[in-house]
Amino acid sequence: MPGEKTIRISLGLYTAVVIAFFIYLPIAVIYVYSFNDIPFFIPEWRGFTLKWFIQGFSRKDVISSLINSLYVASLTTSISMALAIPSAFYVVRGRGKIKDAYMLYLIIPFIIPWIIIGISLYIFYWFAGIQKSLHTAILAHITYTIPLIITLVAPRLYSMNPDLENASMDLGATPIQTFRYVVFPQLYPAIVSAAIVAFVWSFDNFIISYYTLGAESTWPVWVFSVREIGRIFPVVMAVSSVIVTVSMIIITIIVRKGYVEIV
Amino acid sequence: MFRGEDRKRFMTLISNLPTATYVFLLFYIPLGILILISFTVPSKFRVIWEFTLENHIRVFTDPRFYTPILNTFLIVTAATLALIAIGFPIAYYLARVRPDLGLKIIFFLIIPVEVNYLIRIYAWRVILGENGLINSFLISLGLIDKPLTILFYSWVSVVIVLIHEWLPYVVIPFYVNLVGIPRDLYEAAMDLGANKLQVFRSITLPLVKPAILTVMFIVFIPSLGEFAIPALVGGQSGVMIGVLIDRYLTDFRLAMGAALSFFLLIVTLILSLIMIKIFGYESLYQR
Repeated sequence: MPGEKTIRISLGLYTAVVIAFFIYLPIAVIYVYSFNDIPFFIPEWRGFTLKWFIQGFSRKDVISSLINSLYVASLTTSISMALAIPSAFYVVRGRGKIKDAYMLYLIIPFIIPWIIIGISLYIFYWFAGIQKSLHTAILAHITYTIPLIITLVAPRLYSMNPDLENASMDLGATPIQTFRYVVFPQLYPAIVSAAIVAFVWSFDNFIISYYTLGAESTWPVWVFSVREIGRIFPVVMAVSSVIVTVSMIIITIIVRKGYVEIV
Repeated sequence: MFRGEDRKRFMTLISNLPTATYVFLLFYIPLGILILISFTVPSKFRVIWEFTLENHIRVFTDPRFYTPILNTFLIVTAATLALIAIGFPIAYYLARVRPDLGLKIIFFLIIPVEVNYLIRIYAWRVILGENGLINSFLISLGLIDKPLTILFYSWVSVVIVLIHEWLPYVVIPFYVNLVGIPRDLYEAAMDLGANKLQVFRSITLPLVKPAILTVMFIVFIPSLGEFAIPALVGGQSGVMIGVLIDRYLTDFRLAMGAALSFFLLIVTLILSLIMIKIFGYESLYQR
């Protein structure tokens, strides 16, 4: 049998190689082609340029799709938080058959493929004669982010002691005061991370947006719409490398300051 | 108004009513319509309200559907198995061998998720393509004369991209799970004379079962409905059921598209509910 040290080293090497190939190779491609002075993808370096960045951020469709994505993600996150948190309480604290049935009722959108949420709303909007827009996409996103947030907040709720809330209520605090001063301080790490996950999910979601958006695109849908136009690819890459860099900085700050636990 | 328990019940009801109504109106009603339409007579651009089982029978009998449906399950199963095989050793390394590095590396695994997955798929096209990085590399090394075609527009490329897409979501639950196993357990086993292999088989493996389940939930089931990856890199051998559904929908042949969706819905629901039944909802919380 090989020595323990050999196993450790080979496991380490294995980890490094897998992460490099499966995770970071495409990211490296995105960065390299953002600066490569070549309008299509062949494995060749034709010199350094910043023109893709300039082109990218001077395109109206790029800017408006990014703004649309931010708008959709913000509204989706805030509305679904307001809808999901009270249900998370009931799902964790409640007992009995009704609670079990309600849990199943809320969780089903979470355990079926996204494409089904997308097309059932696509047909529903067409059927009801509802003009599709950014808002119809937001309505669609929320059906998924409600269970998503519940599953993210529930573990934290399980570990909270309900006696504290009862004590607060018994001492005369209103439910709102109890939430503000007793529940929220305990729950807030989970709330912050759930909000981040929901926001990122909504910002990035393609399939559901694809079927429920109107004439305006979000960023992922715009990216899909230019899939056959090869010369736009470097622009897409340049804009993405900016998005990645910015979100990397934001996440590092959030994690460093200890607002959320990563795992 | 109300006292004690009654008041509490009333508050629970009031605070859950908007959520329940929302989900009913925007999830269950549309889903109900979709299911109803799947039972109507096939037609283009409209729905004829005459009911038939024709579409559902076609899902199982039309030979043109065999390949995409079979592909879907084969590709997703292959990718899930590969993900567990590839991801578990990484999680093991991070949790057991180098716990000091664990969280840092996990952080690096999460960052790329920030790039929209469509863009990462485009990048994979550059890597796997006919004149892509891998082919050029292999040709320049003299290992092959002609580009490997298996890498691009095939089921292989779909599997590779699925592995890329889901690897972080596989490593993290395994990592969380492995970190949660108390060290004492290992020491006790070793003291009692178990060797490394026995420890691995009788302690580590049974205790990571919940993580395998989490992987099923967050990788296997969503991937069954995947549409963009097979559409962008799948080619002929990589066509999946999601691509098929989209074709019928953009053609506005709603009944057949709805029937295929219904099939996908039932399969994923049965799989999910079996797993919930066995392992409980808690398995959904582990991420």
